[in-house]
Amino acid sequence: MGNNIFSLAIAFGILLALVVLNGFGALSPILDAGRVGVSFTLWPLEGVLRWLRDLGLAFFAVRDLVNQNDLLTRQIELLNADLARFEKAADENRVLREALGFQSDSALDLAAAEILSFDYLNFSQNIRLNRGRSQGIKTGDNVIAPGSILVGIVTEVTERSCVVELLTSSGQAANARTSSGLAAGIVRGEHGLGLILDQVSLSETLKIGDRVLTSGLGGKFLPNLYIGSVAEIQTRTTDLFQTATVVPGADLRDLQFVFIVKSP
Amino acid sequence: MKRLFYFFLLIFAFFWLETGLRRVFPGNNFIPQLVLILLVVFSIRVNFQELLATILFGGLLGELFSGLYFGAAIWSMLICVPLARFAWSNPTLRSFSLSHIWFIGLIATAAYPLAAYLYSLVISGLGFMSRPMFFNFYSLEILWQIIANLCLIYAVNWLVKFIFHE
Repeated sequence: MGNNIFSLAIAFGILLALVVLNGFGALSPILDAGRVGVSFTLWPLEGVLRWLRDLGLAFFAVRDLVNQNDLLTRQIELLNADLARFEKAADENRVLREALGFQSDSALDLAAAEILSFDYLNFSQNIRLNRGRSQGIKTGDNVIAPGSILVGIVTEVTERSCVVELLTSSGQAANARTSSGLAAGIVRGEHGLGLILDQVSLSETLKIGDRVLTSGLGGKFLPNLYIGSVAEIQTRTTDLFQTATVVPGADLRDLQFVFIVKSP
Repeated sequence: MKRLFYFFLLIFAFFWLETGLRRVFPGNNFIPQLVLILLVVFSIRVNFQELLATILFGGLLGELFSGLYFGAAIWSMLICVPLARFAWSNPTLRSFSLSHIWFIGLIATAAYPLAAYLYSLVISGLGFMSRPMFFNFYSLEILWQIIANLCLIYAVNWLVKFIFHE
């Protein structure tokens, strides 16, 4: 029994030593190499598992797929019409901006990144990407999905990887506005369950389906990044502000590739 | 030493499989904690020194993709796996029957988030991270995790018994 307690004490001592070493950054290269190495060895397994998953999904969802196909075909037709209209509007916008002497939007400096892992323990809303300090990534860089959909923010950077806290994390908040410009507030995560648009003044107009974008206020997130759309509005006469549930623009737990917006 | 090497190999294989499953089915709570249940099985089948070595190795692998502060996975395993061994070593419980193996699996799975939460609380108290939310560690989803772990623990026990000819 005494021998066991002594062994347990040694194990906790090793843990303490590892934590201290990690605190000084001595373990980062080893952990990074481990992450990249394990991720590399996972690709055949992932291929098989993805094939099995897709096979299972297809087997159980053939009818859904047919319905979805019809729906998506109709949506493509509508979107094509919208696209033509938007292209014309963009052209007009460019001409008008030039006439008014505005500078055009600067292109973002993007670094494509692959998601190495989601939180292994599934307790926190973090993802780890395969880009790090050596690729010019810094803490505070915004992370977006294709379509300028805001995913989260870089919170920790090592030499070859970085940790991103998802926008759905309860620790995150972003200044936001609706695309119509009629309402502004703060979007914050709900313990990974979704997003809440809060602090919207009662005098402002908020509608279901409104697209929510970052406003850029505060400088933490870049302006005009798409967050999601309003799904439900909760307003009580006793409240000082309106609150709305926002459906994220992308399924943040099902991403494979993202872009890191490198800060200058 | 050779025996320990085979233990490490088995732990790595379980970790590899679990990580692959978590990457293909992100956010799915029905994915069993394969490394944890393997260590729980080890807790009733190997001596204490070997068990601690396997816990440190399994915990270190867990740290690779943990979203928590470094050390949470090792700490949690160092708490809940010996706890499972202690529960099993009680003479009234000591048996390889399904119910007893389920019992220690249940203890380890339920204690794991608590240990991780307490560790995060201490680290946040030292100012290295923000204060963790208790309900991020203990939501209703843990029930699915327990069911998934208990579904597999007896099979893992049988596999270990088969591989090491016990």
